[in-house]
Amino acid sequence: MKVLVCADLDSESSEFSDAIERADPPDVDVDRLFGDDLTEEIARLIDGADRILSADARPRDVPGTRFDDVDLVVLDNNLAHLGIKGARLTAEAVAGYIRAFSGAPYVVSINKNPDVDFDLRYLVGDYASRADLALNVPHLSNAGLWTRKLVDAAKGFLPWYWPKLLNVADQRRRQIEFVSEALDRSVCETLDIPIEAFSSLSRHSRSLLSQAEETDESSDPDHSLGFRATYRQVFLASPRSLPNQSERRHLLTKFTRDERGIREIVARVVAAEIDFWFRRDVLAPQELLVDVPHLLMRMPFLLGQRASELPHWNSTVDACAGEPPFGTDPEIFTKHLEQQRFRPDLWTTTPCFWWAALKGDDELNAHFSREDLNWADAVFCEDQSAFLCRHDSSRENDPAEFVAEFEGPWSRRYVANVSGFQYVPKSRFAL
Amino acid sequence: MKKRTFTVDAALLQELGERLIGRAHIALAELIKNAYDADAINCRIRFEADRILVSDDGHGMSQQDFLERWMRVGTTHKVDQKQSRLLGRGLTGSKGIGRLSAQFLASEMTLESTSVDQPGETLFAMVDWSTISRGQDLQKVEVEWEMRREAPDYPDGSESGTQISLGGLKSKWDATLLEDLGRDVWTLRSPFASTRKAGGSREAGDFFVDVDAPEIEGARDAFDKMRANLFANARARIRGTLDRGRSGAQASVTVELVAGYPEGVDEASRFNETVALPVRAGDDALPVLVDRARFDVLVFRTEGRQRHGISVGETREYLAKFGNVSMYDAGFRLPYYGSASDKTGQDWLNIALDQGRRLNVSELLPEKLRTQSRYMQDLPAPGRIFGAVDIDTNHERAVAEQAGAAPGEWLQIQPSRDRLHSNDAFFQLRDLVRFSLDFYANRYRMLALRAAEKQRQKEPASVKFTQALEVLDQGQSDIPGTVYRAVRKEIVEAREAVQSEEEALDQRAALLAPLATAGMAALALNHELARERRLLESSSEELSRLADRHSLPELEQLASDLSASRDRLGALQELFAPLLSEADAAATERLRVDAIVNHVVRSMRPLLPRVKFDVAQIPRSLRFPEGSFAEWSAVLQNVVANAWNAMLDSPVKEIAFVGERGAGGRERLQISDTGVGLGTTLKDSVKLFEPFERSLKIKDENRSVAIGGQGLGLSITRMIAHRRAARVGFVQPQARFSTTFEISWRGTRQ
Repeated sequence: MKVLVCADLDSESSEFSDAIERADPPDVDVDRLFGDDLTEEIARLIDGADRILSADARPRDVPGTRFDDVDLVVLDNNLAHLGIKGARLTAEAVAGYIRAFSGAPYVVSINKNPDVDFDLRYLVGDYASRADLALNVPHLSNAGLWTRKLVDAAKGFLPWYWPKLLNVADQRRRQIEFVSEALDRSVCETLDIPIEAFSSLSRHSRSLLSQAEETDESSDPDHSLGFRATYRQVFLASPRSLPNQSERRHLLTKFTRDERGIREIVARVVAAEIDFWFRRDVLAPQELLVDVPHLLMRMPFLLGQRASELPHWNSTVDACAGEPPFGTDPEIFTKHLEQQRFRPDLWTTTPCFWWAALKGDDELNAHFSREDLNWADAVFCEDQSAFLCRHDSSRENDPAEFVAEFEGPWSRRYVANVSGFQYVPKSRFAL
Repeated sequence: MKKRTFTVDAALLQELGERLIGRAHIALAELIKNAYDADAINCRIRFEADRILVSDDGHGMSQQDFLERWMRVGTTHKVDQKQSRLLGRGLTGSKGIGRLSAQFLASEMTLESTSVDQPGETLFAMVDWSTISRGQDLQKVEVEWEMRREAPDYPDGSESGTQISLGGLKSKWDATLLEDLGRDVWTLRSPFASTRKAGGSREAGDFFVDVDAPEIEGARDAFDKMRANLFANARARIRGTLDRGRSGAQASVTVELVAGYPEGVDEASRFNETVALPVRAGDDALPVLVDRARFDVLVFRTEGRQRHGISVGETREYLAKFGNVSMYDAGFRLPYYGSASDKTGQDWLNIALDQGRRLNVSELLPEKLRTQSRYMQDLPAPGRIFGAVDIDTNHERAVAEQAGAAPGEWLQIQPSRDRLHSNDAFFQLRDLVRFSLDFYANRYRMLALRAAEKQRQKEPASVKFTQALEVLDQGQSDIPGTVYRAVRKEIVEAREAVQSEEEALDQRAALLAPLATAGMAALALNHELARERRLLESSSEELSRLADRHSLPELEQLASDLSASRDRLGALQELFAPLLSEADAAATERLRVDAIVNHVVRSMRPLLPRVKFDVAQIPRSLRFPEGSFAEWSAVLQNVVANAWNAMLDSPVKEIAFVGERGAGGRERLQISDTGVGLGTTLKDSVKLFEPFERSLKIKDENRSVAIGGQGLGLSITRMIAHRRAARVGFVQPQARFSTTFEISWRGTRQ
């Protein structure tokens, strides 16, 4: 994996690459870009983007940049020392352009929120960042970030919402390829989300697609507005990567001039947008789809006879990276869970299931009254990707409950509150 | 090489007229616009059993006009002519196809027109659209016409005018359809333009359209009355003007808010701002593509009592149907914008989109206005506004062409006649209108914050008491002596009580400046702490790696110590965390007491070694009064710091938190410590809440481990508690403890 570390100062780029080196992720080559060299590359990127967006240049007419040949761009948020024309002082101002106009599939910004290690609001990290992920330097040296293995996690800190950084480039490239082929198809249909499932999402969760769908219908009695939104419409409606709508429109009108090049730009932008939407609005609330750890909290009997021992709960977290039945009771899995599995794996990193179907499965729920089963009073800690007992006198503190900001019945969650890490905003703990 | 001219199929007439016009009211609007262009003051649409009559009192058409212009499809004489013949109105037509829209409504059309120059002669012509067939050469389509002596009945008894009779109607017009059409026609003109002529005047701005149909008699009056009542309920008005934008002039925007809006603002407010196009940062390289625009937007409150006899429900219903911001080209509505039936047209200003994005700060306002936090939450939703944007596409085209602009670089109407092309000119116009709405939201939030501040700074009560004494003294002769003396004594005592309270308040206010300064320094320090943490983190990891590689247990111990230091610094940072987070500084909820106590204990523990904390006796359901996380944690931090200072010499260091619901419905949190005690009686302990009052003398040898000790902690605690309707004070200590501090507040009903 090729990682390009970008910072305005030499010392900071060294700090970043040293941190990655300490994590020692396998097969990772780190290259550094800083100072005047970075200024030059960003200027070339922005100039090319401007020529494509507002002039008549085709993507294939503009020169490439050093961002093109890397898998991951790690970008210092504070670029104040760069001598770039205009007010491009932070990673936020350039992340969208790197995404749209270079071959780098994934952008991580560093130190946008140096006082925040875990964002308690939407369980996706900094939801306002234009980068794919906003981290701080110490996170880069956490080997768990790269491998997603609990044993690698520094001090046990491994947020469930962190991706496996070693995989993100490949996954994003597959997403881009998929979107590129499906540009004029409905997002929901290609994601296998039926209309009734989409309608059950909260208004905010539907808003990305409902704002995108161009329709003559003003009312939305069945809450399905957005179900038919296409990837192309999402591109037009979404300002996260390219904030200027007229530029986005202009880009689409150039399709006939360099279809392949324009299609790729649009697909890169939309793939990132849908990925973010899916993580924040579909997966994080754990209402439409539920993953194994959160399902176990609701149905501990899925562990069968092993439900009374905490280590078995935690073995399922690692088992999620493997094959079915993902640590659950094989018989129950085959009979009840398998057919409710959400199949498309392009937008998920862990197995997920249709919650409404499981909730309505009377035969499955009958396991609640089994007298042969005892289960531990365990809670899933979002900051450690691990289960802990709700009350454990051997620990200094019990897991802390908090209320995430999304709508829905499953917003009450837990963190272990790992010492030395900042959880923000604190008020979410007191709701 | 041979030459050949194009031939035109007659079906083109159908394409231009029927296919492009999607709705009945748009078709009628085209005919109404023709009346306007002909200098009519009145345009009347009469529905009869089997025909629709559209007549006006304009200047009419002569035989020459008919043959040279009316019979020529696609004539651009209106663009070339620019202004109407008599009143000098800006002309609305541009492509010479408006009259073809009649096909959408009917299969036959009769035209009668009497020119103002030849009042005794009336042109009479008939078109039967159904006889025009596909494949026929357009130039071979014949229209029968003749000049007649008798003229039809034009509105207002006019001798000149035009009447179009549409027969062979394509749909049946019942009361519901007529009422809908009426509304569309009545909203065809800008609501802010004059709609009723006064005293027979014939000014360019006078133009009145009416729908005459027995099925909807009285509907127009009801519609006008409702609108007038609604307008009187507007709370704010946003206006903007751009004149000669292409010559470099700036747009000006005015926002006016009525007295009492936002709540607590006593006087009406007015704000002005000028802005150069393009408004959007990043578009500055683009040339200005809009020359002239005016807009006027009213903002309503769609909750609470409304004035002028209309209910909230009626206001909401009206705004849902007719609200939002419409667009008018040369005074005539482009139905797409603000339309209730088209979602993208309805949100053409992207208001709902930005609300969905949870935008807090405008992307259009200049930096100097970005002072108020989260002001975009006051951006009025489409269901709360009613407005109009006036443009003139003919004018835009003329000015743009003069400046050598290429097609697409000005505001252009689409062939469907209901909207503009989505080009950069349109986006510049849209951004300008949105700028004004964002500006409104920004000023509204500023006023609301100022009103909240003012509420806190009302006239001191002692002044009021002095005034009351003056009134009492003036009326002394009318009051029995004993009553006068008794009342006077009570007032004097009350004045003394509040005076001492005000003095205390003044003292507390005097604290704010040094506290704020200390706070800023602390936040800067916190920033540095984060850097130090990072350094410690990387150093300890590096040391640990070296220790591992070279098997050096001492080095491993050092790495471990550094790591522990890092964690302690991290915990200390938690003290500042609520101040740095916007969500934690906002007071919107009643927060759980146990969670805040746990946070404070956790973040202060590194500062208070060997202290035993008991936090188990707080019911989970106990909640502080509404207040922010930052406020309540500040209160508890101060109390815990005082407890620590009192326990410096105590062999047993214990702090216990007990929360409960007491008698009388009050709720309380008690914090007890095993320190040296108050050093004063409970009764006198009130003084400890005054700034710089201290009863505890910290020994010199303990100064390095004490926290604070400036005599400000309890003052701050009381200040916050008062603000949040809570009481603070010392109470009889709990068993085993020497001091118990209590915060109490009115509880919720169980």
